[in-house]
Amino acid sequence: MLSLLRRQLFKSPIVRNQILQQCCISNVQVPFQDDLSAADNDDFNLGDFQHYKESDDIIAMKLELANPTFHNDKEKVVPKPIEAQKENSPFCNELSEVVGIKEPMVFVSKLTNPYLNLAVEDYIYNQMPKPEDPSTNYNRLMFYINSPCVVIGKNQNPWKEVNLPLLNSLHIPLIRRRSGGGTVVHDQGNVNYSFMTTKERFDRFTFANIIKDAVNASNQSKYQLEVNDRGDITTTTQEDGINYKISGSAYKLSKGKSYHHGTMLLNSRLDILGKLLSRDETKLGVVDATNSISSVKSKVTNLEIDSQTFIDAITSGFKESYGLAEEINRGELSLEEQEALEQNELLGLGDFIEANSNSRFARVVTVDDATVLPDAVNQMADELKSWGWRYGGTPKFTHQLSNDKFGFKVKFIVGKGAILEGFELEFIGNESKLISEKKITESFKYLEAFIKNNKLEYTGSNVAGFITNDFISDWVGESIDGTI
Amino acid sequence: MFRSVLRTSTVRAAFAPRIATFSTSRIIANSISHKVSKGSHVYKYLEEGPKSVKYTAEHEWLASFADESGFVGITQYASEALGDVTFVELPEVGDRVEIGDTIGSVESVKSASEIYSPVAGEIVAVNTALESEPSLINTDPIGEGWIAHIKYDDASAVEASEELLSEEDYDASLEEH
Repeated sequence: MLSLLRRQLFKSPIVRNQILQQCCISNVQVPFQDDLSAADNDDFNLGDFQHYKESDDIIAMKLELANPTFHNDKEKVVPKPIEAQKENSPFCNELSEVVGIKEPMVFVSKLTNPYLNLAVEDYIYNQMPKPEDPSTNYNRLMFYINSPCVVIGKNQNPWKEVNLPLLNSLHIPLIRRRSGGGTVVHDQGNVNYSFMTTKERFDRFTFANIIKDAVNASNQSKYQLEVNDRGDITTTTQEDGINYKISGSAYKLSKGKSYHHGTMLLNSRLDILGKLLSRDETKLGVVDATNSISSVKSKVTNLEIDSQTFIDAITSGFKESYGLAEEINRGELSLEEQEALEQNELLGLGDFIEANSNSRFARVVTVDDATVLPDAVNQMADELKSWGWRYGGTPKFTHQLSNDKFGFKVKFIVGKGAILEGFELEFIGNESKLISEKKITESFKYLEAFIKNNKLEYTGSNVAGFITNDFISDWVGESIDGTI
Repeated sequence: MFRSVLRTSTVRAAFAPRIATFSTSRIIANSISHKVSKGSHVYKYLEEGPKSVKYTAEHEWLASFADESGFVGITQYASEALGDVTFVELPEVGDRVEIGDTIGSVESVKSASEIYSPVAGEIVAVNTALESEPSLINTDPIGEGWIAHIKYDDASAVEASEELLSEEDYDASLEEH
């Protein structure tokens, strides 16, 4: 297996591509990036942007224009996925074969499905070997970029943190992660990093500082960064006196292991981010969830560098801190691999490669659509997708909706597993009521009877379905999550 | 900072297994107690007090009682390393657990930390006070901050377990770092 990997390492364009101009298909081409104004959000079915993808032909053409040298004969013999050709890392055929390697490693996921990415992250974390002694490390670093989604912390309440009606109208998925902390919005202008190490070496500052130093040293970003005493990565103080947050981080500690992962706002749609996380309590109701974790609102901004530049800079930082010092032993290389190296030397590229590579080494593995994922990953992704985890994982809470027009309030009492346990009606003294108190009470009778003997998951359509008055029913469903 | 203070110590226990210590916040602890606090529900559960208190490499404590049950929580060391606890996820009464199963988690300063069962048995009570007052884990970790009460499947196996550390061994393993 090892020799297979090594062969890939050298057969793949790793050596050559370091010399070639890097050609990035960045998210700059996606309409989500530039072309939509704030007014589009609600009116123009913005949900579609998440399905937007340039066709393979266009990507191929761009690559060719940018770098025709990719299409030499050798490349044609072994066709690779088009995106593969711009990568300087070996592609991973079977994830299960590489996750246990006892070396520091970097994983770059080209997947965009958020459930899959979180499941792959979990899998890499679970399979990370434990070092036998404190002087070695098998640390992992993973990068992934998700299609638009909202990600809440392990112990958060989505009804409280997220504008669910807006989220649902845009068909943006809500995801509950396994680490703590607050709610973040992902889109293709945001790169997620995940740094995994032992529990012993865990702290909130080490990797934040590596990111800060790497970005500052790159001189590519709009801002210089600093790390505050909470471990947050922010800009230095700007003219308006504000340190803008550009990264939201969260942590998980388990048996002998820990990770620090976070978002990095590079070119995100901050206006949409803000809208998805703000809710008007007069319309969407007051959620009392004192037992769950509340998000801390911060002023945010984009770093404004492209994702590949960011990933390269942080990868270098990781290699410097944790990479292997020793050179790859040539004696272990196959004939073919040695030839590849010699060819580079013949062409006088050896020095160039050396000057451009890190003094320390860490394997970089790319995970993409062609990578075979183990069953465990698909099972984890299914679990992350389940209603029981995403919504059912909410600690118990109450949700009070108030309607002046109808002249009443209803407070839903939601128990463990986000099962509706009961509700309270309260009438507001109002002379000109559209519906009489008696009729309002009657319209909730069926719901009351049903939840006595059945477990009703707290969704707008579930609850609305048992309210017999259409006006009240629609309003309740709209307010809970926009489903009726 | 915390770690480096502890690392300067040269005390070493001969047989204590190596314990991974971790520090998620910058605290300097002058003294760490591993004793069950006297006034707590745990201590007073049976008149004669706990039969034994043992510790795990993952920084849980287990106070065993004569009725073949025990209380589980996290140690003061863990509680200080994690920082202010803002949420505690509890197991369900009636759940069956094996050694090493996750029985809940503690959230503090954006980190979710898993808690593992040091014994096999059945959860007979959970500390619901932690739902409204998670900070009990910080103020009285080995006492009012208990997490679960477990009825043992096999009390003699708990007694004989080599994974469970005595107070001296646990303390020595912390000093090692």
